[in-house]
Parts: sequence; structure tokens; C-alpha cells
Amino acid sequence: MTDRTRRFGDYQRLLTAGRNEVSLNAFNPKLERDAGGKLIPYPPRRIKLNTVEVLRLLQPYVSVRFMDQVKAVVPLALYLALFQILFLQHMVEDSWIITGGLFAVIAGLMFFMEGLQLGLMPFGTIIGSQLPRKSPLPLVLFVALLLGISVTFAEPAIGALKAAGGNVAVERAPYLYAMLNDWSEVLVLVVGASVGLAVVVGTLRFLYGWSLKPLIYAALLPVLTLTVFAAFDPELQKVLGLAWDCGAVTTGPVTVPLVLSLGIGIAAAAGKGDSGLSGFGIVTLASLFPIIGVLLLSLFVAYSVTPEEIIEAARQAAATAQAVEPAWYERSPGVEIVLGVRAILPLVLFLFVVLTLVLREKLDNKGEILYGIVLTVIGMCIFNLGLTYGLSKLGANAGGLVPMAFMEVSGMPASPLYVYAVGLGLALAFAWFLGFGATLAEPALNALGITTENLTNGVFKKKTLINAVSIGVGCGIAIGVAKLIFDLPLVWLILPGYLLAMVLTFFSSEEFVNVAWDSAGVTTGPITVPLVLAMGLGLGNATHAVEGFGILCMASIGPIITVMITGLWARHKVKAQTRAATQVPSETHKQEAEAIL
Amino acid sequence: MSEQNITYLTDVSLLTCVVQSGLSEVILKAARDVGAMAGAISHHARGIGVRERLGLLGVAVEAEKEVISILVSSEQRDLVYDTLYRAADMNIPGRGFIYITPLEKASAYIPQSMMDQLDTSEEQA
Repeated sequence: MTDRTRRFGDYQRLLTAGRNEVSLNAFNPKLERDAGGKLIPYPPRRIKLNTVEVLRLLQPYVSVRFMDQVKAVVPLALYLALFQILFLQHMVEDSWIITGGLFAVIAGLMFFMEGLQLGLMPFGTIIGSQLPRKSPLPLVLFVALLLGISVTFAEPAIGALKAAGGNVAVERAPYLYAMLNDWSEVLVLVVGASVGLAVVVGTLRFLYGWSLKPLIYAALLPVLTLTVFAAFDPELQKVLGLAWDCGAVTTGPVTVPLVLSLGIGIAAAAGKGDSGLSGFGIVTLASLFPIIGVLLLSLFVAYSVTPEEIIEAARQAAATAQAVEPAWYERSPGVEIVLGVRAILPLVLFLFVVLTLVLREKLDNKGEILYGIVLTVIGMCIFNLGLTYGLSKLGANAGGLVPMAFMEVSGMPASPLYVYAVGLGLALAFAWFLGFGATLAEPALNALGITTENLTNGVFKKKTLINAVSIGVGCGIAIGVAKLIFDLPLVWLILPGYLLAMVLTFFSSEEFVNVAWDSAGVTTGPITVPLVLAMGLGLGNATHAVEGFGILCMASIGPIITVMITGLWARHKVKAQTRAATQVPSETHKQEAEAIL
Repeated sequence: MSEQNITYLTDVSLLTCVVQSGLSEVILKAARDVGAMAGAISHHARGIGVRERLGLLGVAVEAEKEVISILVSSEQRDLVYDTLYRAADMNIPGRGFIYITPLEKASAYIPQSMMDQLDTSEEQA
């Protein structure tokens, strides 16, 4: 027989293993009294953490934010790479550089978004809540206008537009080349001013409770007139794609929250902040107004210089560029860093000036805000680097290779890989799924979906909206790619699309008009825009189209139409249900009446 | 059992978890898995204190919190407490806070089927 006695101490140690008790009293601070016997206020002491604790604190903080961006970037990049390898039987060129670039995009966006949250959003919240109460309306609107301009400069996707400028052949589209190279600063300024104007009009709209419908008609009239006018000019025609794409580029992760916080603040100060629709409309106008701005700028460029002058100047510039080694700030990676700093600092300065000079407010958490701003700048620089080496390269590669499926591409001996119809179908399916998948993953769309569900009392489900928008973007991108392949004039796609959208707008209810037109702006984030832009330009080069723009604007009109159609269908269904519900009692009334008679 | 009768539940404790926003799903699942099924209440809250005292490192501590309150029996108490502590990784700095409050008594409607089950098990004993 074994000895069955146990020491009680062993039992107790087993029970309390890994546990120990400390009295909270042990941490009590030593309070002191002054001469009068009163307690001296105890200043909170800094908590000191050792290295291990700091690492453990930072690990989840960093990994959550990193994974957020990984989820957005990696599936898209994998899709592009796998499509190339499986269907086009072509390895991804410079795959290591692209992988490094994509990593930079992920890291850059991570820093940028966190910095935005910590460094810029506090400004937006304070200005949004204080400015409308302390200042007269004209001053508030003026600040809104300037804010629109400075946020456009800070938008990460704007860098993609500038990067696209280098790929345009000057001989074939001189005005387009001029606007993206010599006039690129003016171009961004014009886009920014248009966004600023949109902010002003959008703010006035929910201050006075205007309906969005007449504003849409009023904005579309000059947009479509200018478009048709430009379409008749053989040179100006080539700028149309850029003008329409600018509208899609402007509404990104910087513009939307900052501008909305100001707009909602103004509406709240006027006592009109409780309407469910207050946030809507600005995004729509901010994607329509830049089109007018850019088209007007192109007219101005056309009147001030001739195509021959531009080509001549570009030739001379090319000649001198080869002779002189560019300074460090004109070369990659220097140029990306300069661009990053130039994008963020004006916005920060502007916000700071408004806060200190106009509002005379102080920020409570200076260290944190400074950290946020530094993080934003660092993030923007890294993102710009990733844009050049990762997203733009990957998109351009994919765009250049996709036509291989159905047509002969110079330098590719195996092309065409498939029978024309099959290859063409494959290319269009590729474009459709790219748009569909990228939109499905867009976080901003999720937020819009929740708002919509609340707004329509659950009639329009979040999932329905996300699906409708994703299908719309998918179809839009497929049509945009088809435009490049067949070299269709953009007018023939835009005009019917927007006319249809206008008709649908007329028949839809105010809520759906707001949601549908805003969903177009929401879909184009900082990853989709550069990827699709670069893909379009690559595709355009491979198929010998004049310019590769126009895909993004088709991706904007797509969801507008699908969301409104879905909305009309949902309303029809609800109406049919209520009609069925009201008809039954009336029939029973009739029967009762007959019974009495 | 007449309508006027009040059934007091005794041996009840209130377990409260303060965690950063978004962790409540994890907590609730862990609690459900070890049989704390009396239901839970979650509040949104804003934490103040640690974030400021950490200086710049404070940015890693989310200010938006969720407060989850769960009723547990005295026998479950320690098991649920330990499980939730581990489930929320509270041994990581800045992660959260958990505490137990003893309750004198609690009342709510108890479904008839549960009361019947109680009676039969008592008879068997």
C-alpha cells in the first residue's frame, strides 16, 4: 500500500499556482500636508515600462493596424499575380521589387491612417464643432473652400495621377501630356478648388435643407455640355478620360472624414444636424465639380499653347534631362519624400492657422498630435515609394499583359494565347472580378452600408448595398477596359450612362439618390485608384490606345446606376406588399357589406 | 408557485470586464464556453488615466472601451474569472481590467422548465 498522506502546503501551492495576491494599499501614494494641514494635490506620476513590457504593449497595437492594410492589399495583388501566372502563363516581372513596393504600400498606409487619426482628426473635430459657432457664415465657407484645396493635396491617390503623367506619349496626346507634366501643379490646384467649392455648396445644402436632385441636374448640365464640346475637338477629346477620372480620385481617406466633420459641425451649429442625410451629398459634388474644373483648365491650356509647342518643349526637356544628372530631390526615392512632405505640411499649417488665429483654441495633447503628424508624413513618403515600385508597376504590368490573351503584343512571341473571343472574354472577366473584389473589400463601403440600413429602416440591407455597388464597379471597370480595347470614344459611354442616371434620379426617392451618388465616390480608395489607373495606362499602351484613362469614371457611374435600380426595385417590392396588405381588408369590407345587404 | 412569490437567487457574483473596444465578442464567447449563461450587459465607455500617464506610449492604448458585466454563480466564479483573464490577454499592458463584486441577492423570471428540473434533481437527492 502506498503512503496516501499529503502535506497541506503542497495542496495549497497546487491550488494557487500562478496566482499571487497583492494588496492595493501597497500602491498608495504618500500624500503630504502643507503647513496649514491641508493635503497637497498629488500629481499623477508617469508609469515606467521596461523594454519587454513596451514590446508587449506595442505588439498588438502594430499587428492589428498592419493586418488591416494587409487584408486590403494582399488579396488584390495576389489576384493580379495569379491571373498573370495561370491564364497568361507569364511570370510577374521584377517580382522582388514589386513585393518590396507592396510592403511599402502596406507600411505606408498603416502609418498614414494612424497618423491621420491621431494628428489630423483632432483638428477636424475641434474646427468642425467650434468654427461654425464662433465665426460668421461667410468666413466658415471660406475656410471650407481652403480646406477642400489643402485636403486634395494630401490625398494619397493624387500621387498616382502625377505618376501616370510620365507614361503618356507626348506626340499622341499633347494636351494630356502638358496637363500631367508642365501643368500638374495647376491641375491638382484646380481639382482642389473644385473640391473646396463642392464643400461650400454641400454645406449650404444641408444648412438650408436643399434636395440633392436639383444640385445633381445643375452640376451635370455643365459637365455634360463641356464633355460634348470637348468631344468634338480632336485634341481636347483625349483629355476627357483624365477629367472624368479626377472626379473619382478626389474622394479618399483624407477628404471624406475631414470635410464631413466640418460640414456636419456647421449643420449641427445651425440646429439641423439631426437629419439622417446630413453627411451625404458633399462626396457626390466633390466628384462632379472637379470634372468641370479640369475641362475648363484643358480649354485654357488649349487656348494658351498649341500642340506643336508642347511637343517641341517636351523634346527639348528630354534632351536636357539626359545631359544633366537630376538633383537628389528629382530622383527616386528623393522625389517621393519631397512629394510626401509637400502633400501633408500645407494641410497641417492651414489647420493650425485656423485653430490658433481664427478660433484661438489650444490643443490639449500636443505630443500625441505631433506624433500623429510626423507619422502621417512618414506614411505618405513610404506610401509614395510603394506606389512607384509596387502598385503602379504591378498594375502597369498586368495591364500590359492582359491584351496578350486575345491579340498580338509586340515582344510576346506566344501571343495571342487564346482564340480571340475566349481571350477577350477572359480579359473582361478579369476586369470585372478585379472591380468586384476590390470594392467588396473597401472598408468605407461597409460604413456606408450600415448608414443606409439605418436610413431605410432595414428595407435596404447592408449586404444588398455592398453587392449592388460591387457589381456596379465590376461592370464599370469591365466596360472601361472594353473602351480601351476597342478604342471607343469615352463620350459614347459617359453620355448614355449619366443620362440614364439622371432619369433614375428623377424617379428615385431622396434617400436613394443620396446613397447612390455617394457610393460612387466611396468606392475609390488609395489602393484601387493607383492600381486601376496604372492598369489602364498599361493596357492602353499595349492596345495602342491614345490614352489609358476613363476606367475609373466608368467605375463611378456603374454603382450609381445599380444602386438606384436596386433602390427602385426595393421600393416596388415594398409597395406591392403594402398594396397586398391593404387590399385584403377592403375585400372583407366588401363581403361584409354584401352580407348586410 | 403563486404570482406573488419572489424567487431570490443567492450565491451570485457580478463579474465586470473593462476591455478595449471590439474585444467584447471574444469575452462573451469565452464566458459562454465555460457555462456562464445568465446573459451579459455591455456598455460603451471611454477610459481615462493610463493612456495619459504612459506619455507617448499611450497611443497604443485604445481610449474607447467596452464594459461587460456578467452574472455568475459562486461556484463558477473563479473559473470564469480566470478564463476571461486569459481570453482577453489581460497580462498584456494596457489591455484591460477585470473585477468581481459579491451580490447579496438577485431576481428575475426563471423559466418553469428550469424550476421543474431543479425539483426533480432535489427529489432524487
